[in-house]
Amino acid sequence: MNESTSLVWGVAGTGPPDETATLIDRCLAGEQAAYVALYDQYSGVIYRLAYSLLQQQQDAEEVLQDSFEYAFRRLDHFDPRKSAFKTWLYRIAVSRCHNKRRRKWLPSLSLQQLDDAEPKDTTAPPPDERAALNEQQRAVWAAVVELSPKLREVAILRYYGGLHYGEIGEVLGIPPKTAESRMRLAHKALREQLSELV
Amino acid sequence: MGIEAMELQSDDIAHARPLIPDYVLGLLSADESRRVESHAQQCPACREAIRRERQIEALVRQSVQAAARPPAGRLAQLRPAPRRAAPLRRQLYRQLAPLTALAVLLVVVLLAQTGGLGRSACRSAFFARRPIRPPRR
Repeated sequence: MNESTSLVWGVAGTGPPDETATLIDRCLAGEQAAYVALYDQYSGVIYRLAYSLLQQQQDAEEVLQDSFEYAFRRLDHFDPRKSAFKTWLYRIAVSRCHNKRRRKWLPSLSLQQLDDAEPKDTTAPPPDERAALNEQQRAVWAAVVELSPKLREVAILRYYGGLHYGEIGEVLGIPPKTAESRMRLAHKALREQLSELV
Repeated sequence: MGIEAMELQSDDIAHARPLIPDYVLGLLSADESRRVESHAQQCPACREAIRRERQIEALVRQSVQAAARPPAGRLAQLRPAPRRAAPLRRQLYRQLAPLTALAVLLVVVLLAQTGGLGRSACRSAFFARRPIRPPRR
């Protein structure tokens, strides 16, 4: 299934759970085409998640590759009774995004700054896709980028990933109540930033 | 609409407004959500407030879809090589691992209960330490 058709299934662009479960079974049985299908189904979502958190194409691509290599290697450890595949995959990707941000900023920032600061690719030219954004999308994206990393990751997982607060907590390793309060703050900040649009 | 009814509606709006962001974010209890919904059915101002709050989510989703879009064909280039199927023998070992562990545990427990392992170990230690005496004449 390619990315465009997978978007039919919802916000996060992932397939129905039964289809994913079948794909995972086929992967574990050693069917190589199933790995390709599983990647095609989820790669667009994971790339967008990583890009939204890191704002660098190269970093997002590395996170995407690392995440899938790890997920494929550990696929036999995935337990559908504990979490949805999407949540499991998000957790792998978000953890890699955190590592990337930490490695990039560790030499020049104190630990306290680490939580609030992040790299911004201000010098690189925008990709063609971003150049094609309309004015409204540009303004919304700027508001999303303005959020602190902690608020942004919750907002992306909720609005784009379509996760519940319990799942967000699971992905980020925080209590669901913390996810809820961060979401309130993120939503409030976005409302203020986008007051002219809504 | 009478003055009393207008005041009542105004009170309801004042009460419902602070709940609207949490309602849209799915943070209210089922009971609170129902109250907001039933109020919004009667109140155009609150319906409009709910629409605006929901629009934020839609805008963010559309913006992420568009701004974080991977370059055409790039995802396929980044696809990791599919993993080879584990050899049949390894698959069999993996499937039998719990049974093997159970069998080992059972043997250890049996040996411990019968004292077989301990006794033979003690005996060999005893004989090892015993000095060799020359035969009596």
